[in-house]
Amino acid sequence: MIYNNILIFLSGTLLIATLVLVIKREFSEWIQAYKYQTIVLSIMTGVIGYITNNWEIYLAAIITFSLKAVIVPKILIKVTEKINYDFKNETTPYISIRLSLVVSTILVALSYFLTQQIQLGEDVIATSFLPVSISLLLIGLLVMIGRRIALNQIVGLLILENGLFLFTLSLTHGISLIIEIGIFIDILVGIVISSILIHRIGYTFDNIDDIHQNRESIEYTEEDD
Amino acid sequence: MMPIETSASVSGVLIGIIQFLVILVLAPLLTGIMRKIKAITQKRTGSSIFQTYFDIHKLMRKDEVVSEEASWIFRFSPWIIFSSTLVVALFIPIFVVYSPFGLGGDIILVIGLFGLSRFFLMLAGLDVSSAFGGIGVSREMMISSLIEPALFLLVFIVAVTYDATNIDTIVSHAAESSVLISASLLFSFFGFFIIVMAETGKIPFDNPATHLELTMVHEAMVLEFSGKSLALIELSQSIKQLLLISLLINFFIPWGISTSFSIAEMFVGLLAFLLKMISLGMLIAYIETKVAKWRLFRIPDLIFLSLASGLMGIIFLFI
Amino acid sequence: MIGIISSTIRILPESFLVVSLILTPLLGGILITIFKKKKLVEIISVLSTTFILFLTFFLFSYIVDFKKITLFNEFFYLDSLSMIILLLISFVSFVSSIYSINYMGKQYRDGIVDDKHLVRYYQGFNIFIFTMLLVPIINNMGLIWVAIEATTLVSVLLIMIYVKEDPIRSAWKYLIIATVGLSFALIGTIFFYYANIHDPLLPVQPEEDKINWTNMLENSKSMDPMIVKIAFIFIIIGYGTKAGIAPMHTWLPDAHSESPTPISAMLSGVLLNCALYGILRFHLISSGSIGAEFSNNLLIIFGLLSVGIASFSVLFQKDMKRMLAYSSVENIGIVTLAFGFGGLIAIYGAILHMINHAIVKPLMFFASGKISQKYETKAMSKIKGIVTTMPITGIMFLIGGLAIVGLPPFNIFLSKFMILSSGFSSDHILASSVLIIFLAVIFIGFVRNLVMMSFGKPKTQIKNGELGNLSLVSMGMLVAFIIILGIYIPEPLDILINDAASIFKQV
Repeated sequence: MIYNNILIFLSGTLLIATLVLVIKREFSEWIQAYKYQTIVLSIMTGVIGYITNNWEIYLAAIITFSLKAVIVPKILIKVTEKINYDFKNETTPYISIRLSLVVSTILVALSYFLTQQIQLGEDVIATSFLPVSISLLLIGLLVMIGRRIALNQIVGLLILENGLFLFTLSLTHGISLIIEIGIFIDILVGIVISSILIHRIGYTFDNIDDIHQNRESIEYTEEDD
Repeated sequence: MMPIETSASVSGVLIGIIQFLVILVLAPLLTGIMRKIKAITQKRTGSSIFQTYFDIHKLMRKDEVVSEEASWIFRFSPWIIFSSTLVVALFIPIFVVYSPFGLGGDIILVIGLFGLSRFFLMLAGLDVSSAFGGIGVSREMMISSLIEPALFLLVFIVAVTYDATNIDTIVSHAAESSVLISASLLFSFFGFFIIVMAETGKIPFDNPATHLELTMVHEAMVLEFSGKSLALIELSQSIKQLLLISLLINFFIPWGISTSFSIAEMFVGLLAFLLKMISLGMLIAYIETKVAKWRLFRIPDLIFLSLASGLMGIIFLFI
Repeated sequence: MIGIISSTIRILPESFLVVSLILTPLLGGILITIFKKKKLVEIISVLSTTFILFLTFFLFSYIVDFKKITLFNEFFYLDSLSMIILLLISFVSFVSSIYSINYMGKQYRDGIVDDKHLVRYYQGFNIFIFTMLLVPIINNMGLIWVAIEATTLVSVLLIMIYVKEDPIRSAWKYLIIATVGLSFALIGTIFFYYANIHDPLLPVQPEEDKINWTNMLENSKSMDPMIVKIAFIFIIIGYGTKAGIAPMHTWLPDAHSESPTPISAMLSGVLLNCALYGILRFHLISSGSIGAEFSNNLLIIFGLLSVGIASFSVLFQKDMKRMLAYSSVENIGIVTLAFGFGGLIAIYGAILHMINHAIVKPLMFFASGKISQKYETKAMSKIKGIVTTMPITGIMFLIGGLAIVGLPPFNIFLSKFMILSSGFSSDHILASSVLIIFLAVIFIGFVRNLVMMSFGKPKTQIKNGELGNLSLVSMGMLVAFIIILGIYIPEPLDILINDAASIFKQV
């Protein structure tokens, strides 16, 4: 099957793009890497649309590209412009970047192992893209728990969201357009809201560790009487 | 048209020598081209693409100054570096799937020979007991000790995919399959590209254009060399860069390489090689202008990226 | 009497009712955006919730008679279970909108919120109701996910009304955790859909109506059991995060304690139930496919865990609203557990508990909002003698507190008793015994704090007197319901709960 080669090639490209995303520390670099990942993702979507011959998936590919590769990065760069550099640069992550790279590869292996447990039948798209999508989900979660900075939790969230999109598409070959659009709108609104929040974090908190401070320890220390 | 297996030794040796000479001649040119592209992308005019030849020519005629502290190692190491690089050049096919010492041309030997030249470069850097040499050597050691496992992993993927460690065989198999037949090769390519950037001292890793003690790696080691020795080291650095890039090209994108000794095909092969070399050079130059030099302690991150890519490739070998 | 009313309102077609039910809060939001005057905005908000409440009662009479409504090519699907959620949403939003006038008015006078934020609050309030109303009436499980995710986003906006460190921190935590959790829920939904369209012999063919709940329930027998199991685990983790089931509840105490009080009441009283509704829908499909045992066991485990974690957390709380938030975790745990028990009485008890909790918890939040406005703190150690400083609020607070720990003659006693008795009479004796221990722990923690706050002498000089009468009206309504439902359950409600419980018995 010629499709099979193309699909595996694309999944490899997507995984490389994800690895590149994982090693970034600074927010602007990260946005750039996220753009590349999303472009690969929309190409993959287009290929799925070609194989299944479904115009709705082409539309989803176009929306993915314009929303996630153009609009979302623009919004995020715009709102983070004035934020203090300390909030944007990951200096001391909880899980070091090198360790998270190695763990990511283990997660990829794990997701391939897990998807082999599901009976997918002769479905070329699902067999080649489903494990990649699950590894994207897992890597997204890893990035979320491994980073100290609030901004980088959005990084993880967006990786996760991309994985979710691919997961939906590869398993079901496109759920109805109305749901897809609903999901896209939710993502967009979520990004807008988190940008507002980031903006507020930027001028409300003095340093990044404040956001992790347990609130009880701040507020009720003086009350023993 | 002569199939390669039965090719007479005379024409084989002839072509091998031509190939070797092409490497020698092209190597400084590639360096010049890359500098020129970088200059253009930075909106500078830049020096001519033949500047490297002039530099080497000029250095050859100059007197040599050797530190009083230096021992014989310092004096001999340029020659050892140069000769080991030349030996590697004999193993690596450029535009035809044949190299003079093809049978002995094992990829692991090539890595070993590069290791030898690096070893003597480090010794020479330490030998003169200047502070800069020490800094450069310790940095180089950190980077190369990380590069080596990644490199072996990536080479392992290539060797398993094409079922050989002999460079000629790998290249001829690659030329036959002629597409990226599996995703693991893609990962290997990506990792290899990073390593080529590291080994040739490109920007996220090193910046040979500056002499800033905070950042320089390679330049710090060769700071004490002058005259002929410096010319040799510069030349062997250029050759090493060309060799690594041609390995990258012929392992992963071998399209167009000639599989027989017919003149027309070889000409096409040479043209294709030049084209690929220049476009890779442009890509590297583009990346160099696009990214900033990384802090020394972040460099392992990048090399781990290549290592992780290798691991990923191995996962893909088994599925 | 009821017969006459229901026959007169039958003139309105149900499609009109459902559509206007959804459009009302949207219209309210638009009108609020147009008129930006404080008074007008308040009136519009109350009118819109009142109208929603009326429409819900009309629909209620339909459902009691016809059991289910399907509209527009099965796009909308209402049965008794959805009706219960709908009832809770409209009721709690009605009382919250009345209370809001008083509470936000006081915040406005104190200069904590300005005109812009007030308008934003009421806009958010209406849109929040809109997104919640969508959840129980839609048939398409994918769109239900979209609606629940939308509730997260809108409620984050409502928490962010105050630009201070703590609300921002909680909003962030809530947004991140809930979004990640809901991603899992989407995975589960997709897996269920896949199980529905998947046929090992044929290539996958997406079909639009196969994601509908009714269609999934019909085909549940032919689903691949392996995929259904995986899918249900994702669902319970995913929607469980939103429903505040432990150990995914960590966002809940922060979000519920930092948001404006009427929103806390809505989050606690209804939003948790909306997310639980998602779990229940899939619980039904999973029961139809692989038998009830698998999902029942999961529900019992997660429910018990929630009650346990919440009960010990209540013991150590210092913040009044956080204590109430943990109590929500506990109650949602009890409901989950009771659905897991699975007998008719247990499910009846679970649904009743849902309703009771949605009545009592808003009362507690309303009272605590008044109290914290009066004492200007939420720290329980600084609040003393509520009964003397604000007698009516204090007594209502006390009633709510005693109701929520399950003392007779209040309503929660009844539902808790039903759940426990069915637990002991079925083969879940271990779970029920552990539940009793946890309930005892929570009783101790809650009542101790309650008594310490209600009696004694205030530390600082605080002027006696109530804050506003409108809030007392809304709280009074809730107290009345607490006492009525503690003694007797009105017949239509009884029929509705029985119908809803029988949905669980049919599959």
